[in-house]
Amino acid sequence: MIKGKFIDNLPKVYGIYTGGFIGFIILMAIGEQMGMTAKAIGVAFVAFTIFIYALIGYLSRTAQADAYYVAGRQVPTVFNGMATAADWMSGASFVAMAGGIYFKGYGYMALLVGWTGGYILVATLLAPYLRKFGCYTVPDFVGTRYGGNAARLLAVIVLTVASFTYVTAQINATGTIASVALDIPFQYAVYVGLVSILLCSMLGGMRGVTWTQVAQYIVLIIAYNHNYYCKITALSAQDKAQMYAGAVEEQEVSYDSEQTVDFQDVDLLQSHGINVADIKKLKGAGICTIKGILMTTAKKLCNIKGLSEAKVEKIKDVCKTLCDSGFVTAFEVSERRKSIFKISTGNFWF
Amino acid sequence: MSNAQKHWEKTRSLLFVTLAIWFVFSIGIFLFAAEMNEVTGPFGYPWTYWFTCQGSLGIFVILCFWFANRQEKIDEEFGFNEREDG
Repeated sequence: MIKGKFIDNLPKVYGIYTGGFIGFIILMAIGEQMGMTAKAIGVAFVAFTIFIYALIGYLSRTAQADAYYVAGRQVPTVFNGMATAADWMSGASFVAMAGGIYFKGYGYMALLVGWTGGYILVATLLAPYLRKFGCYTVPDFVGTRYGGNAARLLAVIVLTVASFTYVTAQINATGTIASVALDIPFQYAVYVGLVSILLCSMLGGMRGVTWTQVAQYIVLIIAYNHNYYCKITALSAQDKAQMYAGAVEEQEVSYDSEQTVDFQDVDLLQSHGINVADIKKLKGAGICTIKGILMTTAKKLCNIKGLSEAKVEKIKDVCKTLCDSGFVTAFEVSERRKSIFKISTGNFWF
Repeated sequence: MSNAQKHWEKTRSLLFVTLAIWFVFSIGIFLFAAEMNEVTGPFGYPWTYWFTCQGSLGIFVILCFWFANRQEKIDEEFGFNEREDG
């Protein structure tokens, strides 16, 4: 009953949704001004998204194989593209890949090429024939095309192995987000995340997933472009905006910057109001980490050419607020290191 | 040659062209990564770096659109199109 009407009204439905999402962001911004804590905002965000996704999942619940596996082959091209794009930008790339590149550098960027180039292979070699054969899944297609259960089994094995790395990263991202937002330990948060995913996808199958993905696409595209926009303004409007972009970037790259800040390099100070020239001077003197600054005496810092006493004081203050704990035991450090690794790469293969 | 055979002939050559372009920009150029990285390319980045971040990805996106359009035209030509769903 929803289907026919829903398909016809797609742009309108998602237009209302986008407006609602932007309204929600504004509401949160007002809430923040009125003293809402960061934690409450985080919880509200997660609750809002899960509610929307669960609602979509519930509304598109179905028991028909055709609707469950291929959304009844009724999704218009552009919306299908949006759903596919959301797959590209999902948890594994938003959290795990960004983290991987951040920590391991250039080598990880090969993932970008494979990730995107894979779409060409799917589009040319797999998708058209899957469709022509009227199959629902890849093993289904391989079994039909090459005949017999041996080929089918092989396809299942290849698919499982290939998606294992991806799913590991995805589930890790889910757990991380749930644990940050709900403030519970990672090992429980993973299950909370998984249950909400099941809730959203089991009822509606591919139909539910496609419509949630379109919803997610809108959220992601706003988030990515917001970041991009900040960078553009940073380039044109000099220092202040640059600091802002730096801060946004820092948030994007990793959830755990708060915990690991004492191992970060001094560039982080840029997002806390220290200008680039001063950071360069620090680097020139061989001080490249926040901890390094704390370990160096104020007198020595003053000796660096071009750093006044007032500036040194300011830098020291920022560093102190960044890592307020002073000294940490080696055990604590190793604990932190563990958590960094888990969260950032999200994938034990690398 | 029957209609279906001609259609497959054209589809296959499109497939090979697409795969060739894919191969060049996903594997081919990176065989010369070290040499290319010495040369400064767009926006002041080394060529290899730029291709990994933007160049190859952009080409893949364009290639996807181009391939789909070509295939659509071939299908239309031989009456195999299924455009009724818009």
